[in-house]
Amino acid sequence: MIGRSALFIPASSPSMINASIAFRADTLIFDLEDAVSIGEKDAARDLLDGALGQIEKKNLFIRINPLSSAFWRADIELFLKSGSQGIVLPKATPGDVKSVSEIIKQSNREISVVPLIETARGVEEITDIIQCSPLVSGILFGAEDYCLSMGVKRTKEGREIAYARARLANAAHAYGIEAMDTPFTNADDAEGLNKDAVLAKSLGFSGKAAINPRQIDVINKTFSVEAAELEQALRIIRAMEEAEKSGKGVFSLDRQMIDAPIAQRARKLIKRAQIWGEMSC
Amino acid sequence: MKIMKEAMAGSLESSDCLIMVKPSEKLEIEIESIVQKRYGKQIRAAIEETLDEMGITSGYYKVQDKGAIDYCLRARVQTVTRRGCEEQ
Repeated sequence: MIGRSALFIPASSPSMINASIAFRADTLIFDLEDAVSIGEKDAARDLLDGALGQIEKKNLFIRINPLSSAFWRADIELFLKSGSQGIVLPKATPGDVKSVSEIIKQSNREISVVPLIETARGVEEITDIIQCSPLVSGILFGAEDYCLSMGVKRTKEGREIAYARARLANAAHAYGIEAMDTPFTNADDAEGLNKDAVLAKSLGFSGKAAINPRQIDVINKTFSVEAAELEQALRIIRAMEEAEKSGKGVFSLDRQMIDAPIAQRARKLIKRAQIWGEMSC
Repeated sequence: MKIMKEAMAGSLESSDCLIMVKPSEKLEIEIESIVQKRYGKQIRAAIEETLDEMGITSGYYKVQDKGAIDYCLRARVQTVTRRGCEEQ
């Protein structure tokens, strides 16, 4: 599970790797791709190989280089050796996801594949990308490269990515996986980040990627379950249990009819709150 | 493995180290560290151990350490050694 926040850490930076243990992101994504120059890919892999054995944290992912590059096989070898939980696959296509899944499923451990959707074609092929491997547990949207592939200017308001966001969030929900929103690239604009995260949540994203540790608290707060929402979900489940005892399939609470979909949403919300430590039960 | 050419790995940023290697008849390791007094012995031990694991018995290594911890030192030694062993 990726969670509410996923922070990219350059795999070439010892100081960032050392500090990462203290960051409160639900997931850390060690980046072997964009954050590492072509001539330093070997050094970054050596560094990450040494570091990952020493980091005691649950959700460690590695962003490998794209399958169109010369580096991805060595990245996968490192990934398999590392014991990390997941792999982030840039500029993912259905074929890429299939190829990588075939290789890593031989490791016989529970691994998540998170395709990074960052092209117009990737957005259009999202259902194939999700369906082509059972290892796909979530998708991550990359708006910068997506805009490049669309030939449009990236703006703070994000009108140019509205379609892609809605499509990806919808697809993720349709197949019961997580949808992570694109990073907000101005690390000094907390208000802008907050607005962007609220918008992403309203569209159905379950979390958001971060490029700076300063962004984590805002993202975690936005994507956490609100106290009032949680209380209402608990009331629904308690009322549903009472109704079931008396043999009712549908019942009302506060004059609102409660049926299976509403109960299911309440259960999901409670589960999410339990996972991210927002409730004690 | 044998060092065949000059190579470098790492950086002079905080928590990192810059290592330069060049061919030499014997194994020589020169270390400059901001924590030399306190951790000099451990730094040398980590470097020697890594070179031993890689089967390196010759080469001149110059290490400029800016507070790299064990895994980083070892990683930089591995990278610079492989780069130095590659054919020109």
